[in-house]
Amino acid sequence: MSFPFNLRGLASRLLNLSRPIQTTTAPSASRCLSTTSPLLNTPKGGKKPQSGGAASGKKRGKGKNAVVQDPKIVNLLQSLSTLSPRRIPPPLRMARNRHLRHWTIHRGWLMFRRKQRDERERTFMKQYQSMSAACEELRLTRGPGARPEGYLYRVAMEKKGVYGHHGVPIEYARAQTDTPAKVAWNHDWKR
Amino acid sequence: MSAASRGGNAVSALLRSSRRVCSQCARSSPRPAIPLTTRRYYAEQTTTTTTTTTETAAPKPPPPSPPPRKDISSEHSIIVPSQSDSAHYISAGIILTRAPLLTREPTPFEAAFYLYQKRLNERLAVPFRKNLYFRTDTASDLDWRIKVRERHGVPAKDIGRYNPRGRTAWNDEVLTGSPLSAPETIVEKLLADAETRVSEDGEEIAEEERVPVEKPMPRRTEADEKNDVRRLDRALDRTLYLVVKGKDGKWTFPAGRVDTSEALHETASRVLEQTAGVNMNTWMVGRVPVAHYVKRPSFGEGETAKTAPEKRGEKTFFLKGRIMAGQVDLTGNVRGVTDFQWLIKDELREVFATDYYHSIRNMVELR
Amino acid sequence: MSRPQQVARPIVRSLQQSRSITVCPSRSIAARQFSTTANRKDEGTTVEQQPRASATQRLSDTLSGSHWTPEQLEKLTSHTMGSRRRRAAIATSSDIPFEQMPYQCFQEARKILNEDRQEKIAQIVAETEKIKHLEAADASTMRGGEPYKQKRLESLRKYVEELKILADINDPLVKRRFEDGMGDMNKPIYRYLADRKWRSMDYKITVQRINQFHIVPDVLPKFDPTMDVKLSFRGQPIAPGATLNSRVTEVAPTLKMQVFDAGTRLLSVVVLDADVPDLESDFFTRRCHYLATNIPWDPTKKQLPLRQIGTPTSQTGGDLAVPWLPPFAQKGSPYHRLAVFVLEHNANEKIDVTKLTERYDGSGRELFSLKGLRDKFKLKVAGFSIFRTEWDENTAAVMERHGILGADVEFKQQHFKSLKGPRKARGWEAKRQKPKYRSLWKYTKRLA
Repeated sequence: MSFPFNLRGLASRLLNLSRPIQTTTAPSASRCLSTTSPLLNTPKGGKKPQSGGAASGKKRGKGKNAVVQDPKIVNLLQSLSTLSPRRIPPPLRMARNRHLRHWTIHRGWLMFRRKQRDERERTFMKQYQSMSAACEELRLTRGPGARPEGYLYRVAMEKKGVYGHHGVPIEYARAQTDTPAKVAWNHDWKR
Repeated sequence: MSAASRGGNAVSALLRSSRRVCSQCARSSPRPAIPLTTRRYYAEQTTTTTTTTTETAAPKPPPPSPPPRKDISSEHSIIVPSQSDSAHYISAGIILTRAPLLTREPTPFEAAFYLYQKRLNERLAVPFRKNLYFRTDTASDLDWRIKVRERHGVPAKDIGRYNPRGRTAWNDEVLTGSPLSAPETIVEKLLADAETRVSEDGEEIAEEERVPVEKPMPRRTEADEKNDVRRLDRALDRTLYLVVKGKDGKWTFPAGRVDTSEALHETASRVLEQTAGVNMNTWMVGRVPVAHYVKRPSFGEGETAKTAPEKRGEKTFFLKGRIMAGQVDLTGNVRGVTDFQWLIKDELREVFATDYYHSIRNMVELR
Repeated sequence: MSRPQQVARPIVRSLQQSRSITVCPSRSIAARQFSTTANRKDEGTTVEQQPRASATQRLSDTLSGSHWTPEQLEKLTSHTMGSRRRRAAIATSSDIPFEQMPYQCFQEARKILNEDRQEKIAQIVAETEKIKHLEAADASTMRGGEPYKQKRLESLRKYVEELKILADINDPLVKRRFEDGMGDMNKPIYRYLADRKWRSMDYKITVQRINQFHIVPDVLPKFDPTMDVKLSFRGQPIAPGATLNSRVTEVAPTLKMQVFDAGTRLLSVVVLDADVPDLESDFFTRRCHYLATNIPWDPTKKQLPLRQIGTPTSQTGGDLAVPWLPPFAQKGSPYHRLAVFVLEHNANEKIDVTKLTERYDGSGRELFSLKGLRDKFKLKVAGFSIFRTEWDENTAAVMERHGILGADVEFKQQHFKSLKGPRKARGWEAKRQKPKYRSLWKYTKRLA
């Protein structure tokens, strides 16, 4: 593969000794964006660049009349031109009934979200109350055996080993999915 | 402020520091030798018969500002636990849960709303630039063309037949009864799009030769269909709770007495192993109890009624656990458990006794 | 878009509104289904063949005497005109009311909102029951006694009012009716929406005028408007604070007033000039230009023509205490602030007009104190608006017509001579006038 490239490089060197040596052949896709702008700024009075086969990611000619020939760059420029402000669709305009429907849908969505949020918060509150009541009961409990009142509570409040490196198992980081795995649950797990 | 009262403040500060309040359980340091009444520093000065040395060292009347933690010290004197601790056994239980594996099913409104928003987005977004993604006359380009033709020229896969730039661009709302917004339809469309329609050399593949795309597993499993409450792959979008049937035939969470040398979480994990075997990958979520259940002791009649209950009650503290893999194995369990079930929260109410359910119902999760 | 269509749109809209109201008279909140009060149709569907004749008839009824000929009306409601989209909508949609339009997301959203509305209605019923129980209960059995009972009743009633608003606020038809100005102001939801709209802009402007024209320290120590008051002179609405020609203000204005809380109350209207020049004390005093009282007002009323109050043909009621004196500013005096205050009576008590007349009419107009009036009759300031007047080409004529003296007076700023002596000339050139720079005199400018 490198043979024709070397030849080409040699040819360009022979043809135009004043220019720096060109080693890359075609600009890679990721470099296209960065290479176009300096190309557009080539000085008008400069010499006509020698085209070197596939290395013609350059415009031919000068200034405004530059013609980009590399199909990849052409493609990119075309698709970028769709992003120009002129071609971006205008903001939505709705007639009155349509807008009222949209408003209804929006209000419905807000209501739906609010209901969900309220239910979630209510659950959290209940869980907190449940924990709090259990802890209070534990605090007023004497035992086990000859242990003083509140012993179990103090032990339960200890945070040693609860956080930190092995605090939470990695299996617990499994995210919920829309559909189950092929084997939904591993029933045969052995220690 | 006079010098004398300043001295009084200093003494009371000394007194406060000498009280040794436990910072964790917010009570005075548990010294079983001292009776409860002696810890009452400021409540009554004269009536206490057992005056400690610290109180004799403080001849001043109580300082003008009430001392901190006064309420607690008075609480110490007032709250004599109505059930003395000898009247209760202490148990620790574990509420072993399987977290939902699947996301929630979208409600009809949610599904319709997402489709509505997708179409609005089509109206607002820049049109799809095919040439940017498919080089002309390649196999992928041909494949794309076939699929787009079948979608009536709509680049988006799951919005149905809607052109945001045509004459009917305004008509972007889906009519009632349309199956387009349902999750099943969307899955179907995405699967159809994933199928390869053109071979590598650019030939269109005949319908009988196409390799179908593997379908995702159904959300309802076999266990759901059979309503097998012992399987863990049932009700995948809900939380499952492990309940066991004890010797007395009642359904409860696994629980057992706390040994003298144990803390709650140690008992809970021991009980779980003894009940359900070791072949479960579980994790105890913290050491703090999330719920408790108190069975009151029954007292007999007569003089010793308060001190010696006829039958001791039981305080059960539940810790929360998660199961990540494995299954309950009842063979050879030492706790006499005869049966187990994995239930969702609505089913818990049916199997539990009323008071038991009421004491744990607040800890259940949203779904 | 063609011009007739543009013109037709509001007409068609108002037509639809009037029909919707006649078809379904309002029922009580609890009995009313969600979004079913109006049979309003899609914009396109309103011009169906069958209702068109009646629509045209109704239109010509409502616009009798206007410049629309029957042919024009026919054209306005025809289905052969309008955009392609409109014609398509007319052709394809049958007679479907708005709330039954078969759009999936819309219908699902309505289900959600309807559910919420039913919850709110159930809450209203429960709270009303509670109020009934509490009213029947004996206050002496409660721990707080009668004050506790009253306070609890009050807060319960307030909560019910809130619930009534929450039950209706998500209804698109309520929104539409309010936007068209067809809302029934006896219902809490429309009053709430009107209040919200007023506070979003007009209230802010009013407060700004109060502050920037220093009404607050000058006329009253403190007040906060709670009702909407707009002024119009000779049928032309004016912006608050505008400077008006004295010919325009020769006749009393019409007030467009809107209150946002339920019930009938009695109002008094005061117009006062806050900048009457007082030569003796070299200061400004106030003068009463208009005072009317005992005007019954409720949320459904809109217009109050001040010139009609006290006349036998007056439809609004009320008593005139001090008739309109056209505002005037003598030549040379700075602009006069003419403040319009609307005051609410305490506990709907009537005020004796004769007392007001003998106190404030005639020479009582001068040195008028709004604070004194408010305190003496226990009034509460509710609304405010303002305009300004200056000396202009018509003022002299207006003053003459109304027998006001002083049109020939011109105020001039009094000039005091400075106590400091004249200042020496300074600068580069002034310095070089001195003989020391004699050699430079041929180059420098010679100052006189």
